[in-house]
Amino acid sequence: MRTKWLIHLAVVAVPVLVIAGWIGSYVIHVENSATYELPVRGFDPRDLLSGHYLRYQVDYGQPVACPERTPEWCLCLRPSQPFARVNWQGQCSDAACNTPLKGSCTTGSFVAGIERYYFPERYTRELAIVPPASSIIVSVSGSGKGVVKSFIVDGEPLQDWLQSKAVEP
Amino acid sequence: MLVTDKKIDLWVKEGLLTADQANAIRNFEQSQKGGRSWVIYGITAIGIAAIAIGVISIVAGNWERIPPYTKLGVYILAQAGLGAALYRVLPVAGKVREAVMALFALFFFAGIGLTAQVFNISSNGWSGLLFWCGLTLPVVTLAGSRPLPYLWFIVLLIAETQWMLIEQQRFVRHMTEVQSRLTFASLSIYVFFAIGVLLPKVTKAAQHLAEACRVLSFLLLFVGGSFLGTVVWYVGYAELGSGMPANIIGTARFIPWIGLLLAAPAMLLRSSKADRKVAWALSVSFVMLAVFTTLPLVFALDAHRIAGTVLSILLWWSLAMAAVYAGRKRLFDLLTLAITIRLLVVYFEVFGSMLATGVGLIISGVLILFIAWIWYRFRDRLAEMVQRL
Repeated sequence: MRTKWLIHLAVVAVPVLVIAGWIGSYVIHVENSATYELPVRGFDPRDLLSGHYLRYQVDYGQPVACPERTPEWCLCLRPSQPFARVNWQGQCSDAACNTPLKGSCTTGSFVAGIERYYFPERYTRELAIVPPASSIIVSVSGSGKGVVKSFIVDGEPLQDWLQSKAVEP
Repeated sequence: MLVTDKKIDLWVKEGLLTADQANAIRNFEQSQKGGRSWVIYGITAIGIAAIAIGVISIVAGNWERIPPYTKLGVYILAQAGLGAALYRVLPVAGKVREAVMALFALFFFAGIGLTAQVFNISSNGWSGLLFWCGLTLPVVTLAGSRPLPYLWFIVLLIAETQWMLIEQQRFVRHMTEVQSRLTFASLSIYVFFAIGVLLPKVTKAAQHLAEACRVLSFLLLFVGGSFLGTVVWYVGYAELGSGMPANIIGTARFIPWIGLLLAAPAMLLRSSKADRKVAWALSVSFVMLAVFTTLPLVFALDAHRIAGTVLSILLWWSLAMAAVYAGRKRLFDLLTLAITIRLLVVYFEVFGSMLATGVGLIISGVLILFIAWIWYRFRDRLAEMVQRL
């Protein structure tokens, strides 16, 4: 009887704790990791919308030499004004910094999981293309995972920029 | 069967029931009806749906204004609340338990999607689905009805397919992409089948999940195999061999035979003495499947529709025999009907041009009716005959 009670408790509680822990890990990552601001640009000239996500290319300041079919490739970012720049790139095992940004080169270009940003559906018209002077704030954890914290347009957060566009005649 | 007063009166009149028995049945039915008022259920469902839609509308309308961490916090609380509700109803079998269980499991999809949205997580598709499968596996093993375990297994298959299409080539370097996908996909289905067969022998839990593994894998193998085998026999090795690289053909030749080594021992290990005939019949079916899908590839045979048709009929017949031994009369009827339809397809392949004429149509119609009558008259005797073997 007691065993059954414990099993039922485990069956219900463990998945909830696991997903709460997963969410918590992202919160900790975003709040406690090093952050960099990187400029972004659209694909030429129109951008592809994937559902409610804005997709873009990240400008690292220099070409990323991406060997094809490389499952892991790392970039070391150096904070600078106005945007962070790449000062090293190569195999992750040889990384020349403590928190490299980890990505992959399986599709021929460097992809780090930071190439999209969610926006509300009603702004589809305003965000048909990536606005000029756009950049993203990325937090990079010790494990190399990058998470997009915010999307900046011409120095102001995307939400504020969208609202200011809505107010304009 | 709906028991009406009219039926009860008829049974009393025919002497099948006494008056006292008839009254007892009426009283019993009346007490059941009192506990189950569908009008109340319907009104309650409409009310709950209206509240739920109202809440969702308010949330959706103010979605951007809600801070991200508030959304996540509310989700975790809601998921935990559902968990608490499930914990209360788990000991009591019934529809409420299954409904709460399904809601608890499906709500994890909302959590995974919300987290991906808040943190702009790029997804390859399969990792989210696999994460859901991992989170819900414990609760799915306790399911007392079929929908949730079957859904779980289908999601697992979708995740596996996506993984195979996107990621697999990283891990299998000495095989070509198509070769590795072919091998992995085919063998994984045999593995799932074997797990579904053996799991009930290991534990009493997860009965419906084991059934989902068995049934869906079996369907994929035999329906997919029937289609594939027909193509192989209709197209022939010469055409296939010129169109496909040799290593793909080579890989396709051995997969069903390796699969047989997984499936047959699983069935024989699990079966009791009474089920031994079923296990052997199913093993024969797997041998037929392997022969049907690989013979032209092994011996470089040309297209041969007659041989292909005969082998496909033998495959379905071996399944029909297994159905009889397992006491599944309806399944036997379905399989013999499939064989009947296959024979009709042969007729139309040979004499299809006759359908352009009125006489041809009449002859075809008469033949269809005759075959249907033969099947209807003799299926029961056929089943008895097989049972005596």
